[in-house]
Amino acid sequence: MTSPGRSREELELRGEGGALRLVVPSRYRGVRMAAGAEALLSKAGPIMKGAGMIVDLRGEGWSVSDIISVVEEIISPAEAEVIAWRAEEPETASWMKRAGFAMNSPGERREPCCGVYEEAVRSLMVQESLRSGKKIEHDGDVIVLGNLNDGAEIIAGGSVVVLGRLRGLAHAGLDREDDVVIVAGQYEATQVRIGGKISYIDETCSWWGKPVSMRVVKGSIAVKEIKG
Amino acid sequence: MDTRIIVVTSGKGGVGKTTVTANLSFRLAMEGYSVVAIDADIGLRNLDVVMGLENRIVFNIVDVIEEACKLPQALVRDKRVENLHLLPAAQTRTKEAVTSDQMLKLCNSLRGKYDFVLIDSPAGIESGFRNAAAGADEALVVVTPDVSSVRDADRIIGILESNQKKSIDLVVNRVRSKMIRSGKMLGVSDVSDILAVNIIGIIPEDDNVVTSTNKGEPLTLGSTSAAARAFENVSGRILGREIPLPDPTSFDENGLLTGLKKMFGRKAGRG
Repeated sequence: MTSPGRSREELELRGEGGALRLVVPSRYRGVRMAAGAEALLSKAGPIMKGAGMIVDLRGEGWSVSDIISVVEEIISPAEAEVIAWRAEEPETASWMKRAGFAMNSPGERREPCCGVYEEAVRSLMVQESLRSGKKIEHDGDVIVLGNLNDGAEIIAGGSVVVLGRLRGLAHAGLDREDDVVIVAGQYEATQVRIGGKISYIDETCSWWGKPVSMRVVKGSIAVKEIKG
Repeated sequence: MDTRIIVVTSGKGGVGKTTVTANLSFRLAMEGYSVVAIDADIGLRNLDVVMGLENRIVFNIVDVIEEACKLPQALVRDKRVENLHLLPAAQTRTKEAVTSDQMLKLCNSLRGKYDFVLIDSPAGIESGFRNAAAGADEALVVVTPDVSSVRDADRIIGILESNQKKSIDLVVNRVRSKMIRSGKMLGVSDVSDILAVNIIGIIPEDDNVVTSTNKGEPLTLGSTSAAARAFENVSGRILGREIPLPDPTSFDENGLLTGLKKMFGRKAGRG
């Protein structure tokens, strides 16, 4: 039996609309990523610089750390920008969507909760920690490859993902709350906002300082500790 | 001569910027380096008092910038330590009396003439701080282990990073070992984790600082207190010496005062 994506064995770069599609076979997960990335960047680095990328994850079993390695080994060195993610495996696509990754193709229409069609908005990837006083406002999802420090703010139209420590103010889903999440690698903030909901939190919570995901469930912000 | 121009700043007031500036200026001068300490807190002059030079001020930084006098005329030379000078702030003017460009020009005019220029910055992130930082290549950010001070320091570090300072180091001041051990005060490692910059010094809370400030005799002028030793170590690290950082949870045990108490305690016991 052939697993999905088995026929695509190599890292590939293809054109799609006005963007580039990076096809990443699952065999590049882990230690092979660095070598594959080096070969790809040596050939296509100049083309990728500043380009909008659709990252297409082929095969099974993708984890958060695998995806971070794609960003660290290919996207960041190429100075490219991820505008959408795809995953061949339904399970991977499902958890990535729940974690706030923009799984729509650029320009693809989606129907938000209010019933009005709107264009999918690019994700914003921040490749550094946000210090106190910094404020990011973005219509789409915001992914921070670092910490959100106390006194810093992210106001996002979509989801907010902070891979490091979340101590500042994260406000996800500025005008909607049904399909957005806040994900933190280490949650240490006293207030969180999703859509029109505000939750006040203190360090007595059992999940304080732990990786969590947050979403609105039945009109309240529900928190789930991410384990494993 | 390569001049190192270092701004001592914090964001939050009252964390010990002036004390750090005065003590490091004295210590570096005592090591044989020529040092100018600039008080950039215009309108709230303090460095002269802490350095014990308030009676000898004739001109100030605003006089230099407005060309009412030459720079050497405004520099107050310390009589106790050779090669130590103070450029005092004006007390009767406000921060708007100086612009960033003027401060930059002033700092550049000191290059090649002195080994170190230490600039005591005012608190805040407004024009006073920006002027103080304008001419500096390096920054020492003073922080106390409390949440508000750390948050303000984080803000300051962000601004300094955007100004592309050559190096930004952290001095953690007023550390109380007992409070850290009992979990009532942020640990130095917590501060380091949050601010993510190099720690160049950990200064224990020390009553001698108050006394020395009031007397105008910085601790590094001769005291052997724990804080004095910590300041000496900071200046050593500024000079590139490899001096390990102390354990911030054991200042009480290792402090000189405690050591003397233990010594006398033992003798008393024997006697």
